[in-house]
Amino acid sequence: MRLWALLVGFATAVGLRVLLGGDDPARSVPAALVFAAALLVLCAAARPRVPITRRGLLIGLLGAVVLCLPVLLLQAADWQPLRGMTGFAPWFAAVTVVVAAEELFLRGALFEAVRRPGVAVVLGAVCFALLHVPLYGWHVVPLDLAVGLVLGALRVEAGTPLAPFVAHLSADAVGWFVA
Amino acid sequence: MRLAGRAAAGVLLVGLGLVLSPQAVPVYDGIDAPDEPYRYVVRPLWSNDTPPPTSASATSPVRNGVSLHGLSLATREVGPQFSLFLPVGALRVLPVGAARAGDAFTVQVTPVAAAVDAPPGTRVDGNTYAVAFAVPGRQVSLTPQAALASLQIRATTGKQPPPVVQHRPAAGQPWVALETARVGVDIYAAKFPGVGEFQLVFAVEEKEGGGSGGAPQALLGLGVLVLVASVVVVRLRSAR
Repeated sequence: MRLWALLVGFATAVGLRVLLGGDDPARSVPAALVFAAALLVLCAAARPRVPITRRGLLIGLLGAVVLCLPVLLLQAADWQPLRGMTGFAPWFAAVTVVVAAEELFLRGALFEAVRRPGVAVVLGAVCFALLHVPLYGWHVVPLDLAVGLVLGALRVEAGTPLAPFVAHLSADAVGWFVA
Repeated sequence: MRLAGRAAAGVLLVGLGLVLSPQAVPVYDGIDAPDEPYRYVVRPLWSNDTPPPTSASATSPVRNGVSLHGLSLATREVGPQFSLFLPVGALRVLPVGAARAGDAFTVQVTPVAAAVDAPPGTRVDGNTYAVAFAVPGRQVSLTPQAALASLQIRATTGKQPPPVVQHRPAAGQPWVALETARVGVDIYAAKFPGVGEFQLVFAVEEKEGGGSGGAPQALLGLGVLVLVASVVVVRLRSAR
């Protein structure tokens, strides 16, 4: 029941983001923040454990390398100039909130609501992939599924959502410069 | 499996995801990094004051009458408003055998004011872009290799339903719609058919009758109710 309530709440949060995002939900900061707020409210109810450990931080940094390496190799192969810093700070602040909410929910609350870690990893990855579909289209599902599995594996390895949060946020930051 | 092995497996998995999701934004989540405001050749009154849009050009030496290099060119906005990719051997000097030592193809992309003669029922989005090839004193044609050539145009908005890329070989000729794929939030790709002008067009929306404005608000209210219910259930279940 708790798992289903979390999934319904998650789907509702995604729906709110799409409703509020207007023509361009992927770029709407207010819609993204409402989405994050909805996830954080669900997390406040579920109260996932979030140990802050050195191992979690280190595993997260390793995960950042795993997520960024393929993208950086592609960037090197097809050299394009990097984006500048203009606008980075406010964008990064908003992204930090959204990433924190997602990881607290997907690799925190939802993860703990599923008995088996393997199932929790796959379920979190599927939810992670599906939440991007209304924003970017179905063609991103393979990539986001792969990334979701990696983030889930980091959660299992580190024992805390801190690791996938660090990896996810780092990858997004790198993504700004190579987008 | 040791940690290093698992990390390597993760890299391979993400790499596979990138292969299966070409053109996927590398920002895995969060908020899509904003492009700079669209640069118009003729700026609408309501748009931001921006620098003028940029052109792009690239050259390739001629070898055995065809282009020696593949060409990838993009205008310099962040993100580029027009990009073109031509594979190796896509261009040919005409007449065949007329190439001279030192000849080089030049490919030029130039933004021009949006065409005023868009097909009925459509609205041009952003600039029109003109693509031209040149070899001094010669004519240029496409080879069968050019079937792999492609272009991308950035729309001024990510609005859906998506626009369509249109092409015409020269001003005054009729526009032809190209098979268009969405490859980014506001980036659209099509196969490159040849020189000429390119533009994005949206279908003109027909205004619906009144009364549809209440639906999003009702959905919003319903969404909030469902969210509150989910929170309550999660809290009750967590407290047990």
